[in-house]
Amino acid sequence: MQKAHSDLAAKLEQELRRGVLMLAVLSQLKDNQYGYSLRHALDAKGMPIEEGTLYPLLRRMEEQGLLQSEWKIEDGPPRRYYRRSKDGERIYRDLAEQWRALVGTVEGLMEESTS
Amino acid sequence: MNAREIIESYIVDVAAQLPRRQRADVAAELRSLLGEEIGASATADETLARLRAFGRPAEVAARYHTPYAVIDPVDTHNFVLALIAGALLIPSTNQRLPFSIDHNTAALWFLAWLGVLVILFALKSWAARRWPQYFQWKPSKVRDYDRVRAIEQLPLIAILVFYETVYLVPGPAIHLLTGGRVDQGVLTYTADFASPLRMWWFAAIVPMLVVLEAMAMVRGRWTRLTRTIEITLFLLAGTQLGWHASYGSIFMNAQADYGARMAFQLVGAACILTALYKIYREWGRIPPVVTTTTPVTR
Repeated sequence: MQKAHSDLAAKLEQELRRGVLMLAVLSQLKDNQYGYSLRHALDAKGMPIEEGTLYPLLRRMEEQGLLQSEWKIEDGPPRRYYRRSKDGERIYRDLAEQWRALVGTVEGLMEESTS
Repeated sequence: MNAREIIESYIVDVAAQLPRRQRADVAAELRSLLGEEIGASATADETLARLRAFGRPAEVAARYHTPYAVIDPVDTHNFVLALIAGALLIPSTNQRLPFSIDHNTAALWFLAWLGVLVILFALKSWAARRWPQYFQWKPSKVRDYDRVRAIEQLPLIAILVFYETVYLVPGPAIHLLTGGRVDQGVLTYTADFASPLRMWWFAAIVPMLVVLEAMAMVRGRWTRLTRTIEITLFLLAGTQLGWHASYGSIFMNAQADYGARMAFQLVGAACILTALYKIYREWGRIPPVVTTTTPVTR
């Protein structure tokens, strides 16, 4: 019973995180980053993402026009670097604004339920 | 295989499941990323464990590109229903029945039906993606299956009375119906069929059905009890007729006997299919809307 409860909680937390994943990625791609370094940057800031989830997400975001990418060789093997596109910049600002409003609303709802 | 070969094998398996235009690009990116994630010093076993944690190639490919579904997952329920309904219509493999086929033919018919359904549902999925505007939900009138309408019930009662009459006195009944073209003597039951153990069970079930259908018509609604009794009687009638069709002679005249066995098999199959349909409806029953004028029965 306890295990089922913790499994459900973990699943719900994962869904909650999935909802904000795109916003988290967009927030980190003002400047060029490649998949591996982005994953470690997000991890270091408390937003761990599995590689199997992050890398395909970057490609999908690029197909949606939110990101632009280029292959580069800097200090190591060839890597694909991503950054926000112009559309991605605009959408990121809109999403960030909506996110702040949403957090305020949900905070208010939770305060109501605990008071 | 060494670690490098394992990574290459994984990349090829992922890329092979992507659209052609994406393959080379995703493979190059995965090669670069997995190389950094796993590291050059990883052993073959460590590499395999990391890749398995990354996900099966088909799952990883699906994250890059939504895979094409031959049958839309939302149609699975209807697909299974259609498959079962079609399979139930395949003639029996009981060789003692007039309409019967051998096991191989039955298997072939089932596979042919499965193939037809896959093609039809694939076309439907394709059309729904191509022209979604034609596949929008449309409201339809919800039928209250518990409401009994006299206009539907009276013909059913008449058919049941007709069955019973022809069953009990086939000679005079068919003689009358054909305007005397069929001799009454041709339709004489064998002594074995007319014995209490064979003929009379079905003869008793039909009047019970007539009474039940008439009661439902008078009350205007079916109840859970009457619905259950009706299903039971249909099942009993169907199995009785199936038994008649497959076991021993019915009429003394061989030609009449064959005709009767065919008729019994068809009517019996119709009874069983009706009962199964009613059981299915009962199993997934959605209670009718509660109104002030219509009493709801469960």
